[in-house]
Amino acid sequence: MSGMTPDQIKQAVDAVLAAARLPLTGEDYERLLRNYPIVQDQLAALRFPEARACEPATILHLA
Amino acid sequence: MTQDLPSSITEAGAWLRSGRITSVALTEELLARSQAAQDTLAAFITITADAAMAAAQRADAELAGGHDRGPLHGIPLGIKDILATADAPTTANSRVLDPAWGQRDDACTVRKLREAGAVLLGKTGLHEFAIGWPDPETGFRIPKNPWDQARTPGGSSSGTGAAVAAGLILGGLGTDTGGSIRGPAAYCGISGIKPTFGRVSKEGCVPLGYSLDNIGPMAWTARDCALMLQVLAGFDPHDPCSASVAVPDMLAGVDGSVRGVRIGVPREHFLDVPELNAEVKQAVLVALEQLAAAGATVLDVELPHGAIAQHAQRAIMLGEAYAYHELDLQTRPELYGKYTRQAFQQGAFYSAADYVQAQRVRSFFNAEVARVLADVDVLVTPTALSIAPTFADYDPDAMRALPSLMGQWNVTGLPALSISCGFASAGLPIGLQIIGKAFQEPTVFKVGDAYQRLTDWHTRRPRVAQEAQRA
Repeated sequence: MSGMTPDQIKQAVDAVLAAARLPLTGEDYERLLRNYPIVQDQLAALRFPEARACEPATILHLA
Repeated sequence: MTQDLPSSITEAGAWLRSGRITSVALTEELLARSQAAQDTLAAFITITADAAMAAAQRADAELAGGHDRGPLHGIPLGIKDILATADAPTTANSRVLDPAWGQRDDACTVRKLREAGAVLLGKTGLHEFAIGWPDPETGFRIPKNPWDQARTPGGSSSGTGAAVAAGLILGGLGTDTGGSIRGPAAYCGISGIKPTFGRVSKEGCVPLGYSLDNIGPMAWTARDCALMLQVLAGFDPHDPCSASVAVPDMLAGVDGSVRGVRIGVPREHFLDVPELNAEVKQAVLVALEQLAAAGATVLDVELPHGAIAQHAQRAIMLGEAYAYHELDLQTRPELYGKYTRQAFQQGAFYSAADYVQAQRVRSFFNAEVARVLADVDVLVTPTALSIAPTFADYDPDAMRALPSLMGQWNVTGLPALSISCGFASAGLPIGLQIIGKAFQEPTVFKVGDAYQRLTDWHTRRPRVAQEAQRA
């Protein structure tokens, strides 16, 4: 996703924001635009093959 | 200010019982110092002087009458202002938190401290909702690092870290979702532990990330943290995350020895990382040598998914935080400090599938760490990449891009202690992180305490504390 163009990032962020109904300042919006591709890279990294076999740890069983 | 003061909870307990000092005298002195330091360090949001003096008077009377509540009896402590207290408002350092939220009974942890006879001096400052870098426009004061007031004490338990380091309290409570106890402990040169998830009740704490949040002690020494955790730990039916497990003697095995203790060092991501400050790395390597020389076995271990676990921590934290803050972000976003608002707004980027995927990675990483811990007793890493940064250097985007060495242990839920292991050339302290097995905090304390008996980093005090002591 880090290969996204600025237009693609803007479209993706605008779509998220339309659904989320978040009022933003200009600075808020610029920061979201900057961070969107970083977050997408991190989310892509979470999708590695070994994790597909794991149950989600919605409850921690430490004891 | 003329009162000579004890330097730790342990020492204060001895002084109180020998008659060298009373809780009233100790509390009066620390209240005076705390109020005097508000213009410079701003460690507190609210100082509860009257309630503290009343508690100190009770403690002295009880101790004189032979009613000893234990090691925290008569000890002045601070409470991070994200935990409910009956005698003071709770703000989470935010204009957003409903004032009614703060008008409630003591949080479970606060109640336990009071029952143990502790004297609570007030509510300490923090990052807004335990996440947002301070924004002066919110009107809240910004805690400063006692070692250098141009620098942050770290966050989010900023005020507790600063107040302990400045000698305004002997210990206090912090909360930790991705390093908010351990980071300030490292930056302020004190000790602080994120206990095992479920060990300490979260009832009465404003949430940040429900499945990552922990409440824990901060104090000068590992031993003092153990004394506090002994009081705080235990099952609470009012916290759905509370673990129904026996509470061990937190000082069991704290005998100054690490002979036979096996210490694993995960180098990938945690030590062999280009962003790690060279002085920090050197201090940690020297500490490992000292522990080895004292009889510990130190060995490298493979933990290849530390970076991905950090991403999982962030997805879980922001997903859970967004669920809590969504309505306020939609209806009154202007009341948040801008850094807090902008951090929470990113929660909108995470889908339900992303959240579940992060929880699957959590399972995967938990299993990976469990395999490593089958062969060692603890893991040791630096706590933070660097010493405390200056306020002027703050860049939220740059900070977010850096590796974290702490959030992984919120993902696993394992106990993680930060202690001081040296000072950088700039005069700022360096933190060493000790991670243990689930519910094995005594082993973590054993290693931390033994290291502190080998070294004197934890006895050093910032100039502001020394000047108050001499004045």
